[in-house]
Amino acid sequence: MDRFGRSTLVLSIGFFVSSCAHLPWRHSEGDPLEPMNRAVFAFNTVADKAVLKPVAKTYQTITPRPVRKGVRNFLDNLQSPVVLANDILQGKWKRAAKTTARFAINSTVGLGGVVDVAKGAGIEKHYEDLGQTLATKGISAGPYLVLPLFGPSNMRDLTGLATELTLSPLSFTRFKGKQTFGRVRLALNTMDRRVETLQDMKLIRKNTLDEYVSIRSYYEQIRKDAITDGAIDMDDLPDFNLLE
Amino acid sequence: MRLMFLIIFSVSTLLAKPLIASEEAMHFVQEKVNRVLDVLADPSMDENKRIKEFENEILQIADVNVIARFVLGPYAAKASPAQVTLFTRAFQDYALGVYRSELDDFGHEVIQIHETKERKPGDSIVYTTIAGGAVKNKPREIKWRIITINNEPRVVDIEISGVWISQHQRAEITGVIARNGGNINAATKMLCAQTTGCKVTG
Repeated sequence: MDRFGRSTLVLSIGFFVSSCAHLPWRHSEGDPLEPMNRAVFAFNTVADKAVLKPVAKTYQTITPRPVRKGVRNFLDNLQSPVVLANDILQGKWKRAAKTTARFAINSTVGLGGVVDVAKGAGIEKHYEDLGQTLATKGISAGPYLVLPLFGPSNMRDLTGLATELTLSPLSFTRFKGKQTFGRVRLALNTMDRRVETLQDMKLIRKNTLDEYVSIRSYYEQIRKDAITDGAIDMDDLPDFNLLE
Repeated sequence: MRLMFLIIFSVSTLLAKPLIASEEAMHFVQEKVNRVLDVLADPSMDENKRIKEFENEILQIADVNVIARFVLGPYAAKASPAQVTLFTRAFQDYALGVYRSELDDFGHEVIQIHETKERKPGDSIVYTTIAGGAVKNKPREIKWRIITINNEPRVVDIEISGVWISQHQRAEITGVIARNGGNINAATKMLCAQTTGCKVTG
């Protein structure tokens, strides 16, 4: 899909979401679109069980661990310019320097990003995205969303994702096989992420009372943790009522 | 002079108290977690004894009554004492059942205490890392929320990989209750249905 197509799709989703926000559905706090989200979640679950999970398991079985690691490193390296832009937008200069150093080292000595040489030199990987940047600028998360095939998100993260896709350096370059490259990258990314979560998803499905709520809760907490880089906001912690 | 001494004494006592509470929280985590790990790694115990000892230790570390009321959220105030008691029993059995199913994977880990931060008097976060054993290749940072209850430190929440477990359980439980028209018994039944040998009847 070209940039215009993606923007139109995202705007349509945004419009649909904001229209639905006023419908009189019963919902949990922070999830005014719960009925719609549950429907998408049910679709995603079927798609996951029928296609994504078996494909991910096959990929895990037939691909040796070092190869999968190389693929992950390569994909992460491709994402470095986006991480760097968000480091800078958040004013995290030390992290920006680390991302730059990692990108330079891994793209050259690390054979185009396949080998994480920078990690061996003590420069650890970190992630930033536009959703996190918007959060640090005081933009609230907005309603929780479950995106078809993409999974859990919220209005802020969806806006961030759409903007990143539209402004990605890849969108402005022209080369032969660009579409194929984009599709292979998306497929590998999706498969690799699913392999990473195979064990976690198994545990969630085993112990949960409500898988939809469980994933929503994990998503919200993990995103909050990513936004603060793991620091605890003491005022944000809930009180425990000790009264009998 | 006596007045000055009294003021200095009072101020220093007030300042010292949070520090003592935080240190107590730190020692509490160190001692209790080590005790649990010892139980799990003890080769002299058969499985039944190990499980029983483990559960005893967990119930001494965590305050199940406080956590159960917390996970009920706003519904705790609307429920009858009998409903809360039943829910608490079901919640305790369910939580211990979840731990029990994962016990075999743990026992040879080492806990390292880093620091403690006080949120308010009697409410601290202890920062730790668990390494070795099952997490040999990937040490896990774990944060413990310790609250002083009846003059005793107790764990009320644990954060692993960015997720506070009690907060997560609260989201699940209140979600179940909301979808059942505010009926707490629905959550009690659901917890019971997921627990082997549950004897709680509503």
